[in-house]
Amino acid sequence: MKNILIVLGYVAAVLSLIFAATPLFKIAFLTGGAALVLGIGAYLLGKKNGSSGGNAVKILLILTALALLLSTYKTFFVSVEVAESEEMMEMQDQSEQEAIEELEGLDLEELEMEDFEEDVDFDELETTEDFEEIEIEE
Amino acid sequence: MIRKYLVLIAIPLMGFSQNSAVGTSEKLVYSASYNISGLLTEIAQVTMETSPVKTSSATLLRLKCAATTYASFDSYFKIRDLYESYVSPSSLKPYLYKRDINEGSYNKFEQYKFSYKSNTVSSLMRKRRPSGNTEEKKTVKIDSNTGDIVATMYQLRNVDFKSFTPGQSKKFTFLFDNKPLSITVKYIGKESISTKIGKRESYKLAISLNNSSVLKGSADNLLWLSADANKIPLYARFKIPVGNGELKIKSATGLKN
Repeated sequence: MKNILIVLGYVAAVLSLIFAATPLFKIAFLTGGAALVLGIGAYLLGKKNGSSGGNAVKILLILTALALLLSTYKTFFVSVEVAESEEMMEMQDQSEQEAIEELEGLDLEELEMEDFEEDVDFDELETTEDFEEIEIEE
Repeated sequence: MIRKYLVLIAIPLMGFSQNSAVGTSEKLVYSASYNISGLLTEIAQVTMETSPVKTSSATLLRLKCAATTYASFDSYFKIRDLYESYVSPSSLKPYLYKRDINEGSYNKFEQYKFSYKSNTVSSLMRKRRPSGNTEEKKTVKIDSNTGDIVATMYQLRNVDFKSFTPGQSKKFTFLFDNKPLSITVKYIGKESISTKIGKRESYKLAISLNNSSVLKGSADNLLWLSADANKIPLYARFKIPVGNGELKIKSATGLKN
Protein backbone atom coordinates (compact mmCIF):
# COMPACT_ATOMS: atom_id res chain seq x y z
CA MET A 1 0.00 0.00 0.00
CA LYS A 2 2.82 2.35 0.98
CA ASN A 3 4.62 1.63 -2.30
CA ILE A 4 1.45 2.41 -4.32
CA LEU A 5 1.15 5.74 -2.54
CA ILE A 6 4.81 6.52 -3.25
CA VAL A 7 4.52 5.65 -6.96
CA LEU A 8 1.33 7.73 -7.36
CA GLY A 9 2.96 10.52 -5.37
CA TYR A 10 5.97 10.57 -7.71
CA VAL A 11 3.70 10.71 -10.78
CA ALA A 12 1.85 13.68 -9.27
CA ALA A 13 5.09 15.39 -8.18
CA VAL A 14 6.68 15.07 -11.63
CA LEU A 15 3.49 16.39 -13.25
CA SER A 16 3.58 19.34 -10.82
CA LEU A 17 7.14 20.16 -11.80
CA ILE A 18 6.25 20.00 -15.51
CA PHE A 19 3.19 22.23 -15.05
CA ALA A 20 5.14 24.64 -12.82
CA ALA A 21 7.62 25.17 -15.64
CA THR A 22 4.89 25.95 -18.24
CA PRO A 23 2.40 28.84 -18.53
CA LEU A 24 -0.17 26.44 -17.05
CA PHE A 25 1.65 26.63 -13.72
CA LYS A 26 -1.58 27.06 -11.75
CA ILE A 27 -2.46 23.43 -12.47
CA ALA A 28 0.69 22.53 -10.51
CA PHE A 29 -1.25 23.48 -7.34
CA LEU A 30 -3.71 20.66 -8.02
CA THR A 31 -1.15 17.97 -8.85
CA GLY A 32 1.21 19.30 -6.15
CA GLY A 33 -1.60 19.10 -3.58
CA ALA A 34 -2.25 15.49 -4.59
CA ALA A 35 1.49 14.65 -4.39
CA LEU A 36 1.67 16.22 -0.94
CA VAL A 37 -1.31 14.20 0.34
CA LEU A 38 0.11 10.98 -1.14
CA GLY A 39 3.57 11.69 0.28
CA ILE A 40 2.24 12.41 3.77
CA GLY A 41 0.04 9.30 3.50
CA ALA A 42 3.08 7.17 2.60
CA TYR A 43 5.08 8.69 5.49
CA LEU A 44 2.30 8.06 8.05
CA LEU A 45 1.76 4.53 6.76
CA GLY A 46 5.50 3.85 7.01
CA LYS A 47 5.59 5.29 10.54
CA LYS A 48 2.68 3.05 11.57
CA ASN A 49 4.56 0.02 10.27
CA GLY A 50 7.67 1.06 12.16
CA SER A 51 9.65 2.72 9.33
CA SER A 52 9.69 6.42 8.35
CA GLY A 53 9.50 5.64 4.63
CA GLY A 54 13.14 6.24 3.83
CA ASN A 55 14.59 8.58 1.26
CA ALA A 56 11.86 7.90 -1.33
CA VAL A 57 9.26 9.83 0.68
CA LYS A 58 11.72 12.64 1.48
CA ILE A 59 12.61 13.11 -2.21
CA LEU A 60 8.90 13.00 -3.12
CA LEU A 61 8.12 15.78 -0.60
CA ILE A 62 11.12 17.86 -1.76
CA LEU A 63 10.02 17.61 -5.43
CA THR A 64 6.48 18.59 -4.46
CA ALA A 65 7.70 21.53 -2.38
CA LEU A 66 9.85 22.74 -5.30
CA ALA A 67 6.92 22.61 -7.71
CA LEU A 68 4.61 24.43 -5.29
CA LEU A 69 7.22 27.09 -4.50
CA LEU A 70 7.87 27.73 -8.20
CA SER A 71 4.13 28.01 -8.92
CA THR A 72 3.60 30.34 -5.93
CA TYR A 73 6.50 32.55 -7.08
CA LYS A 74 5.09 32.71 -10.62
CA THR A 75 1.60 33.53 -9.31
CA PHE A 76 2.78 36.56 -7.31
CA PHE A 77 5.92 37.83 -9.02
CA VAL A 78 5.77 37.00 -12.72
CA SER A 79 3.57 39.39 -14.72
CA VAL A 80 1.93 38.30 -17.93
CA GLU A 81 2.96 40.37 -20.93
CA VAL A 82 2.30 40.51 -24.62
CA ALA A 83 5.38 40.20 -26.81
CA GLU A 84 6.07 43.46 -28.63
CA SER A 85 5.09 42.29 -32.04
CA GLU A 86 6.10 44.37 -35.03
CA GLU A 87 4.40 41.72 -37.13
CA MET A 88 1.04 42.52 -35.48
CA MET A 89 1.53 46.29 -35.90
CA GLU A 90 2.42 45.84 -39.56
CA MET A 91 -0.61 43.59 -40.03
CA GLN A 92 -2.87 46.26 -38.51
CA ASP A 93 -1.39 49.12 -40.57
CA GLN A 94 -1.59 47.11 -43.77
CA SER A 95 -5.17 46.17 -42.99
CA GLU A 96 -6.09 49.84 -42.53
CA GLN A 97 -4.50 50.82 -45.86
CA GLU A 98 -6.35 48.02 -47.64
CA ALA A 99 -9.58 49.03 -45.91
CA ILE A 100 -9.21 52.65 -47.09
CA GLU A 101 -8.85 51.37 -50.67
CA GLU A 102 -11.96 49.21 -50.25
CA LEU A 103 -13.89 52.12 -48.71
CA GLU A 104 -13.03 54.38 -51.67
CA GLY A 105 -15.00 51.98 -53.84
CA LEU A 106 -18.08 51.95 -51.58
CA ASP A 107 -21.13 54.14 -51.66
CA LEU A 108 -20.64 56.44 -48.69
CA GLU A 109 -23.26 59.00 -49.71
CA GLU A 110 -24.93 58.85 -46.32
CA LEU A 111 -21.63 59.53 -44.57
CA GLU A 112 -20.77 62.42 -46.88
CA MET A 113 -23.99 64.02 -45.68
CA GLU A 114 -22.85 63.60 -42.07
CA ASP A 115 -19.50 65.19 -42.89
CA PHE A 116 -21.34 68.02 -44.53
CA GLU A 117 -23.36 68.45 -41.36
CA GLU A 118 -20.18 68.81 -39.34
CA ASP A 119 -18.84 71.44 -41.72
CA VAL A 120 -21.71 73.82 -41.06
CA ASP A 121 -20.86 76.79 -38.90
CA PHE A 122 -24.10 77.46 -37.09
CA ASP A 123 -22.91 80.77 -35.62
CA GLU A 124 -22.39 82.01 -39.12
CA LEU A 125 -26.02 81.24 -39.92
CA GLU A 126 -27.21 83.57 -37.21
CA THR A 127 -25.52 86.66 -38.67
CA THR A 128 -27.76 89.21 -40.30
CA GLU A 129 -25.56 89.18 -43.40
CA ASP A 130 -26.69 85.65 -44.18
CA PHE A 131 -30.32 86.48 -43.72
CA GLU A 132 -30.03 89.45 -46.01
CA GLU A 133 -29.01 87.12 -48.81
CA ILE A 134 -32.37 85.39 -48.80
CA GLU A 135 -34.74 86.54 -51.42
CA ILE A 136 -38.35 85.53 -51.16
CA GLU A 137 -40.29 85.68 -54.34
CA GLU A 138 -44.03 85.99 -54.01
CA MET B 1 -26.14 79.47 -48.66
CA ILE B 2 -29.10 77.34 -49.71
CA ARG B 3 -26.98 74.27 -48.91
CA LYS B 4 -26.79 75.38 -45.28
CA TYR B 5 -30.56 75.80 -44.96
CA LEU B 6 -31.16 72.44 -46.59
CA VAL B 7 -28.96 70.86 -43.95
CA LEU B 8 -30.87 72.63 -41.18
CA ILE B 9 -34.09 71.15 -42.51
CA ALA B 10 -32.58 67.73 -43.13
CA ILE B 11 -31.05 67.24 -39.67
CA PRO B 12 -34.30 66.60 -37.77
CA LEU B 13 -35.60 64.35 -40.57
CA MET B 14 -32.60 62.05 -40.69
CA GLY B 15 -33.34 60.33 -37.38
CA PHE B 16 -29.96 58.67 -36.81
CA SER B 17 -29.43 57.17 -33.38
CA GLN B 18 -26.60 59.36 -32.20
CA ASN B 19 -23.39 57.98 -30.78
CA SER B 20 -22.88 59.60 -27.41
CA ALA B 21 -20.63 57.00 -25.76
CA VAL B 22 -17.84 56.00 -28.14
CA GLY B 23 -14.91 58.36 -28.58
CA THR B 24 -12.65 58.67 -31.62
CA SER B 25 -9.39 57.79 -29.87
CA GLU B 26 -10.31 55.27 -27.22
CA LYS B 27 -8.14 52.42 -26.09
CA LEU B 28 -9.52 49.72 -23.82
CA VAL B 29 -7.21 46.91 -22.74
CA TYR B 30 -8.49 43.62 -21.29
CA SER B 31 -7.00 40.44 -19.98
CA ALA B 32 -8.71 37.24 -21.10
CA SER B 33 -8.64 34.22 -18.81
CA TYR B 34 -9.72 30.70 -19.58
CA ASN B 35 -10.74 28.09 -17.08
CA ILE B 36 -8.24 25.23 -17.19
CA SER B 37 -8.95 22.40 -14.72
CA GLY B 38 -11.03 24.74 -12.58
CA LEU B 39 -8.32 27.41 -12.41
CA LEU B 40 -8.57 30.67 -14.31
CA THR B 41 -5.41 31.22 -16.34
CA GLU B 42 -4.63 34.49 -18.10
CA ILE B 43 -3.98 33.57 -21.71
CA ALA B 44 -4.41 36.63 -23.90
CA GLN B 45 -4.70 40.38 -24.09
CA VAL B 46 -7.64 41.92 -25.89
CA THR B 47 -7.52 45.55 -27.02
CA MET B 48 -10.42 47.58 -28.31
CA GLU B 49 -9.35 50.76 -30.08
CA THR B 50 -11.07 53.46 -32.06
CA SER B 51 -9.53 55.91 -34.52
CA PRO B 52 -10.78 58.17 -37.31
CA VAL B 53 -10.16 57.05 -40.89
CA LYS B 54 -10.36 59.47 -43.79
CA THR B 55 -11.28 58.57 -47.33
CA SER B 56 -11.47 61.05 -50.20
CA SER B 57 -15.18 61.59 -49.55
CA ALA B 58 -15.89 60.88 -45.87
CA THR B 59 -14.52 60.29 -42.41
CA LEU B 60 -15.27 56.98 -40.78
CA LEU B 61 -14.54 55.54 -37.38
CA ARG B 62 -12.32 52.49 -37.26
CA LEU B 63 -13.30 50.07 -34.48
CA LYS B 64 -10.47 47.65 -33.94
CA CYS B 65 -10.43 44.61 -31.66
CA ALA B 66 -7.23 42.62 -31.42
CA ALA B 67 -6.56 39.47 -29.44
CA THR B 68 -2.95 38.49 -28.73
CA THR B 69 -1.79 35.60 -26.57
CA TYR B 70 0.68 36.44 -23.82
CA ALA B 71 4.34 35.82 -24.66
CA SER B 72 4.51 32.77 -22.39
CA PHE B 73 1.77 31.08 -24.42
CA ASP B 74 3.09 32.03 -27.87
CA SER B 75 5.30 28.96 -28.19
CA TYR B 76 2.40 26.67 -27.28
CA PHE B 77 -0.57 28.31 -28.97
CA LYS B 78 -0.12 31.63 -30.75
CA ILE B 79 -3.16 33.79 -31.39
CA ARG B 80 -3.07 36.97 -33.46
CA ASP B 81 -6.68 37.86 -34.23
CA LEU B 82 -7.79 41.16 -35.68
CA TYR B 83 -11.40 42.26 -36.00
CA GLU B 84 -12.19 45.63 -37.59
CA SER B 85 -15.28 47.57 -38.45
CA TYR B 86 -15.35 50.86 -40.34
CA VAL B 87 -18.46 52.67 -39.21
CA SER B 88 -20.29 55.95 -39.39
CA PRO B 89 -18.95 58.07 -36.49
CA SER B 90 -22.42 59.28 -35.61
CA SER B 91 -24.60 56.17 -35.94
CA LEU B 92 -21.93 53.41 -35.72
CA LYS B 93 -23.50 51.83 -38.79
CA PRO B 94 -20.88 49.55 -40.42
CA TYR B 95 -19.71 49.97 -44.00
CA LEU B 96 -16.78 47.58 -44.01
CA TYR B 97 -15.94 44.69 -41.70
CA LYS B 98 -12.76 42.66 -41.66
CA ARG B 99 -11.81 39.64 -39.63
CA ASP B 100 -8.32 38.20 -39.78
CA ILE B 101 -7.88 35.07 -37.69
CA ASN B 102 -4.43 33.59 -37.04
CA GLU B 103 -4.63 30.84 -34.46
CA GLY B 104 -1.81 28.35 -34.83
CA SER B 105 -2.41 26.51 -38.09
CA TYR B 106 -5.96 27.89 -38.37
CA ASN B 107 -6.04 30.96 -40.60
CA LYS B 108 -9.12 32.69 -41.91
CA PHE B 109 -9.91 36.05 -43.49
CA GLU B 110 -13.36 37.48 -43.83
CA GLN B 111 -14.54 40.77 -45.31
CA TYR B 112 -18.03 42.27 -45.58
CA LYS B 113 -18.96 45.32 -47.60
CA PHE B 114 -22.34 46.68 -46.54
CA SER B 115 -24.70 48.29 -49.03
CA TYR B 116 -27.72 49.85 -47.39
CA LYS B 117 -29.31 50.85 -50.68
CA SER B 118 -29.74 47.23 -51.75
CA ASN B 119 -29.65 45.79 -48.19
CA THR B 120 -26.93 43.38 -49.18
CA VAL B 121 -23.46 42.43 -48.01
CA SER B 122 -20.70 41.45 -50.41
CA SER B 123 -18.75 38.85 -48.54
CA LEU B 124 -15.30 37.49 -49.16
CA MET B 125 -13.95 34.55 -47.19
CA ARG B 126 -10.44 33.12 -47.48
CA LYS B 127 -9.13 30.10 -45.64
CA ARG B 128 -5.52 28.97 -45.50
CA ARG B 129 -5.19 25.26 -44.91
CA PRO B 130 -2.28 22.83 -45.30
CA SER B 131 -4.48 21.05 -47.86
CA GLY B 132 -4.78 24.26 -49.92
CA ASN B 133 -6.24 27.74 -49.85
CA THR B 134 -9.89 28.44 -50.55
CA GLU B 135 -11.70 31.64 -51.48
CA GLU B 136 -15.43 32.21 -51.48
CA LYS B 137 -17.33 35.28 -52.66
CA LYS B 138 -20.98 35.68 -51.82
CA THR B 139 -23.74 38.27 -51.70
CA VAL B 140 -25.90 38.00 -48.60
CA LYS B 141 -29.27 39.68 -48.14
CA ILE B 142 -29.59 41.54 -44.83
CA ASP B 143 -32.07 43.69 -42.94
CA SER B 144 -31.38 47.40 -42.73
CA ASN B 145 -30.43 47.05 -39.05
CA THR B 146 -28.02 44.13 -39.48
CA GLY B 147 -24.46 44.97 -38.57
CA ASP B 148 -21.29 43.12 -37.76
CA ILE B 149 -20.08 41.74 -34.45
CA VAL B 150 -17.64 44.58 -33.70
CA ALA B 151 -20.08 47.39 -34.49
CA THR B 152 -22.72 45.58 -32.42
CA MET B 153 -20.41 45.53 -29.39
CA TYR B 154 -19.98 49.28 -29.69
CA GLN B 155 -23.66 49.94 -30.47
CA LEU B 156 -24.49 48.24 -27.19
CA ARG B 157 -22.79 51.15 -25.45
CA ASN B 158 -25.29 53.59 -26.90
CA VAL B 159 -28.30 51.82 -25.40
CA ASP B 160 -29.97 53.90 -22.73
CA PHE B 161 -29.90 51.33 -19.91
CA LYS B 162 -30.82 54.10 -17.46
CA SER B 163 -34.38 53.87 -18.73
CA PHE B 164 -34.45 50.04 -18.64
CA THR B 165 -36.24 48.06 -15.96
CA PRO B 166 -34.66 44.79 -14.74
CA GLY B 167 -35.65 41.97 -17.10
CA GLN B 168 -36.08 44.26 -20.08
CA SER B 169 -34.17 43.15 -23.16
CA LYS B 170 -32.96 44.38 -26.52
CA LYS B 171 -32.15 42.38 -29.63
CA PHE B 172 -29.25 42.96 -32.03
CA THR B 173 -28.66 41.24 -35.36
CA PHE B 174 -25.27 40.85 -36.98
CA LEU B 175 -23.68 38.86 -39.75
CA PHE B 176 -21.13 36.23 -38.72
CA ASP B 177 -19.64 33.58 -41.02
CA ASN B 178 -22.12 34.78 -43.65
CA LYS B 179 -25.08 33.98 -41.40
CA PRO B 180 -27.28 36.50 -39.64
CA LEU B 181 -27.19 35.87 -35.90
CA SER B 182 -29.19 37.66 -33.27
CA ILE B 183 -28.27 38.24 -29.66
CA THR B 184 -30.58 39.20 -26.86
CA VAL B 185 -29.18 41.51 -24.24
CA LYS B 186 -31.15 41.42 -21.01
CA TYR B 187 -30.71 44.11 -18.41
CA ILE B 188 -30.38 42.49 -14.97
CA GLY B 189 -29.74 45.51 -12.82
CA LYS B 190 -27.12 47.81 -11.37
CA GLU B 191 -24.12 46.45 -9.52
CA SER B 192 -20.95 47.90 -8.04
CA ILE B 193 -17.80 46.03 -9.10
CA SER B 194 -14.09 46.41 -8.31
CA THR B 195 -11.80 46.59 -11.33
CA LYS B 196 -8.20 47.60 -12.09
CA ILE B 197 -9.50 51.06 -12.99
CA GLY B 198 -11.29 51.42 -9.67
CA LYS B 199 -14.61 50.57 -8.11
CA ARG B 200 -17.39 51.31 -10.57
CA GLU B 201 -21.15 51.32 -10.69
CA SER B 202 -22.17 49.12 -13.59
CA TYR B 203 -25.06 47.81 -15.63
CA LYS B 204 -25.18 44.02 -15.39
CA LEU B 205 -26.36 42.41 -18.62
CA ALA B 206 -27.06 38.83 -19.64
CA ILE B 207 -26.25 37.97 -23.24
CA SER B 208 -27.61 35.03 -25.15
CA LEU B 209 -27.11 34.10 -28.75
CA ASN B 210 -30.39 32.99 -30.30
CA ASN B 211 -30.57 29.74 -32.31
CA SER B 212 -27.02 28.76 -31.50
CA SER B 213 -25.22 26.45 -29.14
CA VAL B 214 -22.56 29.11 -28.48
CA LEU B 215 -23.28 31.49 -25.56
CA LYS B 216 -26.27 29.35 -24.69
CA GLY B 217 -27.43 29.96 -21.14
CA SER B 218 -28.58 33.48 -20.43
CA ALA B 219 -27.25 33.30 -16.85
CA ASP B 220 -23.78 32.11 -17.91
CA ASN B 221 -22.79 34.94 -20.20
CA LEU B 222 -22.70 38.17 -18.33
CA LEU B 223 -21.39 41.60 -19.17
CA TRP B 224 -20.87 44.57 -16.88
CA LEU B 225 -20.89 48.01 -18.55
CA SER B 226 -19.87 51.11 -16.61
CA ALA B 227 -22.98 53.00 -15.52
CA ASP B 228 -21.70 56.33 -16.81
CA ALA B 229 -21.90 58.16 -20.13
CA ASN B 230 -19.11 56.02 -21.67
CA LYS B 231 -20.66 52.65 -20.82
CA ILE B 232 -17.38 50.81 -21.32
CA PRO B 233 -17.28 47.03 -20.80
CA LEU B 234 -15.63 46.44 -17.42
CA TYR B 235 -15.95 42.73 -16.95
CA ALA B 236 -17.42 39.79 -18.84
CA ARG B 237 -18.01 36.17 -17.97
CA PHE B 238 -18.72 33.70 -20.72
CA LYS B 239 -19.50 30.04 -21.15
CA ILE B 240 -18.97 28.28 -24.45
CA PRO B 241 -19.31 24.56 -25.30
CA VAL B 242 -15.56 23.98 -24.73
CA GLY B 243 -15.27 25.77 -21.40
CA ASN B 244 -15.64 29.11 -19.70
CA GLY B 245 -13.62 32.20 -19.04
CA GLU B 246 -13.64 35.87 -18.27
CA LEU B 247 -12.50 39.23 -19.55
CA LYS B 248 -11.24 41.86 -17.12
CA ILE B 249 -10.43 45.48 -17.90
CA LYS B 250 -6.80 46.53 -17.38
CA SER B 251 -6.86 50.12 -18.63
CA ALA B 252 -9.08 52.64 -20.38
CA THR B 253 -7.80 55.79 -22.11
CA GLY B 254 -9.14 58.43 -24.50
CA LEU B 255 -12.74 58.08 -23.39
CA LYS B 256 -15.32 60.42 -24.86
CA ASN B 257 -16.94 61.61 -21.62
